[in-house]
Amino acid sequence: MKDLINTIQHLLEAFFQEVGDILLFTGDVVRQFFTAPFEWKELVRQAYYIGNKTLPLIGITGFIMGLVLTMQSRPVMESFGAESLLPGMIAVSIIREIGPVITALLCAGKISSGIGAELGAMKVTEQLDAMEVSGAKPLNYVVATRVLATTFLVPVLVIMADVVGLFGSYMAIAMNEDLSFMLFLSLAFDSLSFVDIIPATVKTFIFGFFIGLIGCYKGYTADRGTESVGRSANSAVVTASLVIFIIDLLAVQFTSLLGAS
Amino acid sequence: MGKSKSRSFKLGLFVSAGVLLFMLAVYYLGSKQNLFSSSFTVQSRFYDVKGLVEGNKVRYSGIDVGTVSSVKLIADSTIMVELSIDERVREFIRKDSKVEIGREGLMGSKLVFIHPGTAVAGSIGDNGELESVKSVDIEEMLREAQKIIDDGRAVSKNLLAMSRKINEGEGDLARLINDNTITTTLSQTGDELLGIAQNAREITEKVNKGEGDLGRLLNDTTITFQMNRSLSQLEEVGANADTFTQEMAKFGKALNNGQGLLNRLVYDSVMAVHVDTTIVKVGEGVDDVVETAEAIRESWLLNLFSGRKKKKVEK
Amino acid sequence: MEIVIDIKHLKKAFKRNEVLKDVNLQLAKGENLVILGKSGTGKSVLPKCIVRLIEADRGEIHVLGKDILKLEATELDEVRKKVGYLFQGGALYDSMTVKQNLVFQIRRTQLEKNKAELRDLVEEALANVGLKDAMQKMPAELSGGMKKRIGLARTLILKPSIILYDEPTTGLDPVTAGEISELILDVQQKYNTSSIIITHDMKCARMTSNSIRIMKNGKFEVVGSYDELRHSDDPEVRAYFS
Repeated sequence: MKDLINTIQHLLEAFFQEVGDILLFTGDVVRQFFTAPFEWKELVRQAYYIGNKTLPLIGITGFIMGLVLTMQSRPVMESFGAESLLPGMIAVSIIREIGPVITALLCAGKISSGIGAELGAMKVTEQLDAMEVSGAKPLNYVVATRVLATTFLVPVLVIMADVVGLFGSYMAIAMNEDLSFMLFLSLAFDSLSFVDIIPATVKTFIFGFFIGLIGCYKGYTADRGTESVGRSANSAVVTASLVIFIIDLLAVQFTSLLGAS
Repeated sequence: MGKSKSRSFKLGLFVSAGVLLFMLAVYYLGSKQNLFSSSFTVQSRFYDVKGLVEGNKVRYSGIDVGTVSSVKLIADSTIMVELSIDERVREFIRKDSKVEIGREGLMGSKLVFIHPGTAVAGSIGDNGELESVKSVDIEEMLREAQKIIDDGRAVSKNLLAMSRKINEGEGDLARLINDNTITTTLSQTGDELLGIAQNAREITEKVNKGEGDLGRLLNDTTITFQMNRSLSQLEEVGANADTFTQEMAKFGKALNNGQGLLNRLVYDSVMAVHVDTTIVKVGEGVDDVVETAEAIRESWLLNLFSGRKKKKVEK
Repeated sequence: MEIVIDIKHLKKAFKRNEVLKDVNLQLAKGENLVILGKSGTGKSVLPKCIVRLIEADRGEIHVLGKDILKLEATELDEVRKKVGYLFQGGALYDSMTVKQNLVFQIRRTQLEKNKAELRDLVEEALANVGLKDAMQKMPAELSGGMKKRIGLARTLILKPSIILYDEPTTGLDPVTAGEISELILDVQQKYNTSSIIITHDMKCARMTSNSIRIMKNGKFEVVGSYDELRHSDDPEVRAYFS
């Protein structure tokens, strides 16, 4: 019993410690955004690399997401005789929630782990130390650029996933009935308002920021030793996914708060 | 290291607690959305709240003005519902405002409607009680509507049958309107009266000539008197026919202008056509009656007292 | 004799593990100082403390007359430019070519230089380590010894007055290790640098050292030249030389 309490206490301590460390790290990184010199070249390189690496995955997943969601929702809507509401419903659920969250989770799996492993390896092989000693701040050159790249790339990827997802949804509808793509789009966008789009978009920027940040943090704080590279990649995915859900929860609440007033 | 550890630990604890508090606060706000603005409470008793729960909206003339703050069962058939209402609308909620439980759309969530009261009653105070109105539920409404539709259908069916009967000439009214037997009968009557007059002439002739016992017995003046009486009776018949045509015209007008019960309940173009034809026919009937009356005048009323009677008979 | 590094009563602990207890060290100008010690005694912690990659708990470190532990970030960068650091694996940036690795090192400090001058600097540094041909190669294509040489070239490009070698010969075959040791000597002679060499390779120590410290229990308990220590009475010291 005492052991159990001790364990819980340690776990809580470790948790709060981790949260605090991440926040301090976040503060350091954000400070780097405004510190000269700004590494535009590295930012563009990272953005290209991240986008290029993730685009096919996001495209395929987005398409299947829209297709399956529509096929699954169709019988329910049919039983209400409300098939014409299907495009609107799918559009709202993809753009508001499923698009951002699924894409963010995929990016956590793909980008966060990649960054975690890369920085973990750099840490283990003392590349970060070497950079530090040479007067190039790794926080500035390595971390800030990656975090900014994901912050701006994830929203783009989310929009891609939304578009491809809607197209998948159209395909699923077109299988069953004769609906023109223009009518589908008009039905889909009729049910959307800025209240749907703006918080969902703002949310994706935050997702992107934390996907990059958690990956960097986990890599940056990797222990010595080769096995810690794998560990930081793994824990980057887990932590980033968890953070995405927490942010999503907060965002939903925040939106409802704004919507209510 | 030790210092920085405790610093990040404190920061983590602080921020985690902050996030948790934020979440709880938002949930709390979600259930009581009027937390920020000042509000007051009113109550109302219901027999059935139909699934109303805490947090449902309260509407006044279609505007959201508050939320349901509690739903309590206070006796086996009484439920006390407390409404938390925005202070700013207090002056519009009168003591005699009525509260009703309704539904947002056909499938939406339950809400409470407050119906405006009268200005004379004055605004309600804190914890005031408003009278509840038994609301119509959709099932009940549909049942009522079905009844109304059935009734309406029966009425229109009756009207249809009625107009058809009028048209096809069954019954007294129809016969009066459609048949010209009356005029024929009247003209027959005229003919018969003519016959009588002829007979009378013969009799008078016989009387004049002093033929037979009866002629001798009867006085000329008596016959004249009797003839006079029958004439005045015929005049009455004519007057009655006149009033009847007037009544008929009124009826037609009423039908035409749609003030009658029939037209108000069922507005039917078929019916309107029927009514139209009916009126035309009534008009024709009236014409006929007028003609008849004239014929009567011309045929025997004047003939009886002027020389033309003889002329006509001779002819 | 000019002292370039002066360490007094340095202490460093990781949680409860006191790695450095009371370290005192003086490095003279142009001297090659070798630090020996068993694995896990925290030999590698010391050079990291000197460039403040690891924050020391207590004590003083003077590098080129400046108290390292009390410097602001910008002042620290100035000192770091004069202190070269050769990491264990060379620590080449994986995502860059050899040339970019070297350019990265100087672009912060020598932004005013044009492309031709940069190229000359890079070529000179690579020529120093005998790897002029490797300019366009990626670090993954290089062997361990080559990585160390490139790492050294990257350090030399800034023309430091002090170089810290963290296990320069570890993990290399004896021949390559010998070549690296030669290179260390070459650098010392060519640029008159002062060096601290952390190693447990006795051949390297013999070749490069002017003076040797042996770390034990977080302190330098034994001081002396290679020859002095080889004939030490202490069996523990002699054990290094067997």
